[in-house]
Amino acid sequence: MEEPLDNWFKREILAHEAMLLRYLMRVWPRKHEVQDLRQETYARVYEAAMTSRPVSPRAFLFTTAHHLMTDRVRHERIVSIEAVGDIEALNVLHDEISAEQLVSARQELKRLAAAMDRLPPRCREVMWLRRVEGLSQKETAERLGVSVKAIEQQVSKGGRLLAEYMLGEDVAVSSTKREFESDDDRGHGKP
Amino acid sequence: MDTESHNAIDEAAGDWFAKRESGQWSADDQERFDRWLSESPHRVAYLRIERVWERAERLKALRSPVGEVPPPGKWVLSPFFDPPAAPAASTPDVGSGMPSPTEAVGRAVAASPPGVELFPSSDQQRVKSGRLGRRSRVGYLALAASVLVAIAASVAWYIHSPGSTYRTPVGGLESVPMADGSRVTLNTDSAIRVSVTTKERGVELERGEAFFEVAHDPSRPFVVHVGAERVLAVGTAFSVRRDGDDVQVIVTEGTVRLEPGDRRHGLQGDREPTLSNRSSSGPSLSASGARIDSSSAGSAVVVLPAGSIAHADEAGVLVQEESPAQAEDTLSWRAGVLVFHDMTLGDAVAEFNRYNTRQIVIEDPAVARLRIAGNFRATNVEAFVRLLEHGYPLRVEQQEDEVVLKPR
Repeated sequence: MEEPLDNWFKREILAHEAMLLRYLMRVWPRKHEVQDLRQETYARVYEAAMTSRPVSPRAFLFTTAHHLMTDRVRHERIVSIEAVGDIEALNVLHDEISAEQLVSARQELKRLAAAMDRLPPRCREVMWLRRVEGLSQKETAERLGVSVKAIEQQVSKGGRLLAEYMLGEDVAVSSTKREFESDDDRGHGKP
Repeated sequence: MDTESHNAIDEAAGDWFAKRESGQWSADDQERFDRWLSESPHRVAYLRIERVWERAERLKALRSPVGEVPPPGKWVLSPFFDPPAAPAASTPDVGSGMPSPTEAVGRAVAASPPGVELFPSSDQQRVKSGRLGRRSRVGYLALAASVLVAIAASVAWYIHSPGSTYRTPVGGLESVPMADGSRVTLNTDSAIRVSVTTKERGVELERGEAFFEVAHDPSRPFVVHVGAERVLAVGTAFSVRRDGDDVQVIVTEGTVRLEPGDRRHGLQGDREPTLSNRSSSGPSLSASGARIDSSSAGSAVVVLPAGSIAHADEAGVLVQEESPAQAEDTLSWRAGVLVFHDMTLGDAVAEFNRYNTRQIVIEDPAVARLRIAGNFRATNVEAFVRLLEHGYPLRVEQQEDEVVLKPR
């Protein structure tokens, strides 16, 4: 039963990441916490789905995020009381959220290509050879004249960055981006 | 809250993923991996990467037959495709400062997010119709890719053309990618004109407010022109707000130089403000609330570090130093939210009114002096006044085109 749950999660939950980030950015005042909220929301959704899968995954995802924020506001008292009221009042946001667009094959390809091009040059090269040309890690290392370990590091970074670029689309969540600014192989930094 | 941050988890997930893909995977690895994966935050982080890796397989459609890694933005220029049709009919005379079409395509592809309509629709249609004849030979995905190139070309053209103007209506919020990788986010009722040359990346803020995230490029300073007097240069992330001749600058990252402008040079000016050689000559600002008198200083340059909030008007420049986090709060409009910290209701309402055609009116000065704090959706007037009615000695009078706040 485990494997199907993973597939379910990828298809029904991760597909809404960009929208989830936008929602969190809109209602949560501390932007550097948004990625942590995103992750905790996912973990809660996954755990709940182990017991029983929600009928409407998207609604469940946003409700979970909403509860998480409400819990935090009450627990940590980090925002003034009006914020709670406003989050409640902003339930209308769910209407906006339902206006999801279907991604066409063309848009998907465009988005993938754009995400690839945002990778640091060396990282992009490695990801291309591994994923698109289908070279093994060893072949890639030989081709580029670097160690196998270096390829593995690039794949680790590339996978992480592509997840951010693809799933989060272009939602500007600043906390994770600064980390990559110092990459020496990065052509010109995008803030 | 879990003690482990998303960054640490995402990094670990990336490492596990790469290890698993490496082809060197032992039973011991599997055991450790299973243990790591048993925690939900770990598992969901791993699933994200796996999901994207699966989707990336589609890129094989754009693979080059010779097995070379195409340079960024040029992956579509395989022998299957013609070079992108330059929008010759509509290309303005831009002189030698223009990047070559392929360069422009590369940068535009890298910079353009999905769903932002930057190109004139007529261009897009022309491009599509010019491509249809090739469908039978190159197949569906190839067609898709060539349309993509052509669209990117028109995006590049649009961004590079002199005086591209972007506007938002009241209540609008829009993020515009620039061809150099920078990004401009426009607040409500704002207008900018973008002009990128080989010497300068210039933006004129005609009205309203914009937030700039500047891509690093020492050879071309990023300059925001505001009104007749001032030029703002450099920095990595900052906002500029214009209220008539009053200008507010908020710096969240890097450094910004605020200098008196010279309109005669305009957007295409050959003056090149640079970061390094002149910033040391500017006054150093350590005291909170320092006022620099521009009349006595003539062409005084003010250097603003991250966390600065500067107000410039006829009388000079007033600089407040806040923490970068506080400066960020002031820019919460980028998420459609207004964050008030102990503000007078009068000021808060003035802020709100920028975002809505339905205006809130306060007639009683005592009401305007009430203090307020909180987070509010900028375009949700009704939620805002409802909360006011609950928490303050006020009553709300709904009139035809305005909302009046009265003492209760």
